[in-house]
Amino acid sequence: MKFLLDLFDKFRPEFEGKKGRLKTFKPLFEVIEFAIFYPSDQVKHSPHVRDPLDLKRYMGVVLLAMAPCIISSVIFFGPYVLAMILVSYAVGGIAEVAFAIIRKGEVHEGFFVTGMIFPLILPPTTPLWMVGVGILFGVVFGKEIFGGTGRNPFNPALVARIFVTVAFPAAMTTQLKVPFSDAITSASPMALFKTQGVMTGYQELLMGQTAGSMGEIFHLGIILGGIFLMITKVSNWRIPVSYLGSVLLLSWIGHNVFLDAVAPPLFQLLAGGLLFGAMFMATDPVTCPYTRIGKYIFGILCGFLTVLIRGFSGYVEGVMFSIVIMNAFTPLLDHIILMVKYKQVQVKA
Amino acid sequence: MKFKGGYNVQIKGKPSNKTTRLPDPDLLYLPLFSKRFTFSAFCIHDGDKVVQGQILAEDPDNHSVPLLAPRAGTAKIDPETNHIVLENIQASQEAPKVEFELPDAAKGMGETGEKRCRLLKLGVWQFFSDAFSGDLPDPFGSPQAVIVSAAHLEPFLTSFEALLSEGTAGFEKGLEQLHSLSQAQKFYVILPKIKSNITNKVRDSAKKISGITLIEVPNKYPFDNAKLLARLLQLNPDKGSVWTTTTEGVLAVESALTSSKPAISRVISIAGPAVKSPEHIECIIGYPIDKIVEPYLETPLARIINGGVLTGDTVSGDQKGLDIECAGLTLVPEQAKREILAFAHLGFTKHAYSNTFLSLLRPPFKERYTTGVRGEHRPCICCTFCEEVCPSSLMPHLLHKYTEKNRLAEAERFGLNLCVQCGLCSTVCTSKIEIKQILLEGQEKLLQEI
Repeated sequence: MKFLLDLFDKFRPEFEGKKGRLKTFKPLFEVIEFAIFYPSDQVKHSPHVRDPLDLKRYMGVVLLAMAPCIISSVIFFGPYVLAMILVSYAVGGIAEVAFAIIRKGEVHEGFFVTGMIFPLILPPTTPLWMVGVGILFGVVFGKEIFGGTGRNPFNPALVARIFVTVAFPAAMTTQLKVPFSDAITSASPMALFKTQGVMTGYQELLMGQTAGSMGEIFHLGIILGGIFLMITKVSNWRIPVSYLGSVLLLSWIGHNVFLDAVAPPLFQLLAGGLLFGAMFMATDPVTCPYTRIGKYIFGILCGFLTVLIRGFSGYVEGVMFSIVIMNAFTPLLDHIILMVKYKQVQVKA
Repeated sequence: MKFKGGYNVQIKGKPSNKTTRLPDPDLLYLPLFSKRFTFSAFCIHDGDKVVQGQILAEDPDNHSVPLLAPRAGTAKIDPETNHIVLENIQASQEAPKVEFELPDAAKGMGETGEKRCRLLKLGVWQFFSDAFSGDLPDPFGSPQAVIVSAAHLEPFLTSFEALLSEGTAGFEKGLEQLHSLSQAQKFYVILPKIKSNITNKVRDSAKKISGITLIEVPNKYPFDNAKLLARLLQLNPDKGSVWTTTTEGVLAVESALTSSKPAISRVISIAGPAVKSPEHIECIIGYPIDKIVEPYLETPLARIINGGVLTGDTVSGDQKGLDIECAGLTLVPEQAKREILAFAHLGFTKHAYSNTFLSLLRPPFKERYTTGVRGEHRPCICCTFCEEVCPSSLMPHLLHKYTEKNRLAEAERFGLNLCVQCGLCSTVCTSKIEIKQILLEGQEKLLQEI
């Protein structure tokens, strides 16, 4: 690998300093260089040792947890899925680098998760240009205009998904496919329940043999990936537990009170994008509350909104709306909890 | 008491309990500074011949804490390097006669005043600090409580097992003496919950003395921290100082009061991932640091840290000899190589707070850490790892943001002053933010505002 390091050393002056001819593209150079060769920076202040986990690994673990969804999508719907992922990364990556250049900062790793989540929550027939437009909107208006990674109030992938849902509703709801089939359908399990009162079998739901967004249907893989994320501490268990728990409880109550409108608990859990949303999107640490109680409230209210939208609105699915709505309430939740927690604190050194 | 947070970073290089006595060097370099003290009031002249235990200089801002001559010899004051160099050194077997005048504050205290004065003049008082401020407490004051943290929980400070390897009689006697002279209402001995012969003996020693409360804390860093303990014990900073010391301080009290021995030598650890065979050494103050380190160094490029790996300070090139406050020398290899695709490593040899490496599947092990930052600085993503490990139940991710924006009123409200500077937040930060340093600067700014 020394030759590669020498190559970076050779070209670095072109990207650095005032005289570097390509200094504008320094963020692009750095993102490539530091992904391959980590900087050898030494700690300046105590503590003199640091944990090996960094943001690259952190986001890498999220991608690893989504591997069952990615692989199942490719198996279910063919190589077109890879093209969608590629477009998402390419267009979103250009936007990310462009903003890094404008801000004269670095390209942050959060994008690698956004760039993967977005195509996974799209129908497998989505035109590539639509993928590009969606991710561009998500990265720019969901994250970068707020200041980039760590400062975005909304999950950028969900912002992108809501944008395409509103802008291209037909493509998002009527152009679905069942795995291993070329037939176009709009009959996702949630839609079937809402329009015809038909409940898809749990085995089919678990193994992803239903129509829906391509990464959201293989629920067994999502469960495994979600548990993996919680074990690794990358996602906080409080949100999925409270989110899924509240959906189970509220849908049990709702199903018993409004039999036709609200689906039974297990069906709610295994149909649609609930598991994917609860495991991979609601747990985004930047956009969910940082207070522990806030996390529980966030999860419970997400669950409440999901059951409400699924059961009583014109939409068949309510996960993305509920998470984005709760993202908007996150700062308020944290603020209220902090105010209550520190109301009585006597600060004495 | 309810303990939250804390984390034992598993780093290779724990010192054994073996103690090697280092032979006297040719020259001693006595630093005129240490973490808390600056010895600016000289009691000798350049070129004076001094005797063992003689006061060479004092810190006028810290109750005249003395810098003692560890050996007899010729003292040369070197103002450029801020050291007193002791040449032609000779060891003396006899304990020096300590003559001192009782200060006014001690005169009305009778025998206690005389004993406290002796501790001060024999260099023992430097083992004490005030739990809340970390400063040197007034030796003639009335503490509301005394806390003896028997064990250091920070890697790799001097272990109490090494200090007490020859028996706990001195420790027990020292505890009694300290208890009697402090006249404090509350006297606590803090011990980690571990089972070993020495721990059991210390436990028994503390239980034997009436008026002493034994408190067992989780064997987790930083539950030996005096500021944290004082708060958990619900001691009020407005009700006077809280004296804190360690096992070494208790042993020094016993030596000073029983045999009038000045505190001129130390048992310190020499440990860390860059040390060949980590152990303890007994050496005198002013011992040249390079001579101590040289035989132990495993890698040519290593950072020498005065103190533990989490809170110690890098030994600067200006410091030539061992200072009076050193509780251990820690050597950590400097990060020199650039790791290739580090984010994709399986991580069998990496020890992380999270379970994101395959080392999770290994039996417990210690990692050979370096001084590498191990990633790039990024904005905080609120992973809340810092909050999980914080022993003060603070939200460092929130505090650092307020402090960086100079919104100190909010930071203070959310507990900036309660930070005990343990450094765990910076250690586990995935975004590689210098949280500890930012909070320290925030605390200093708050103090200035007051």
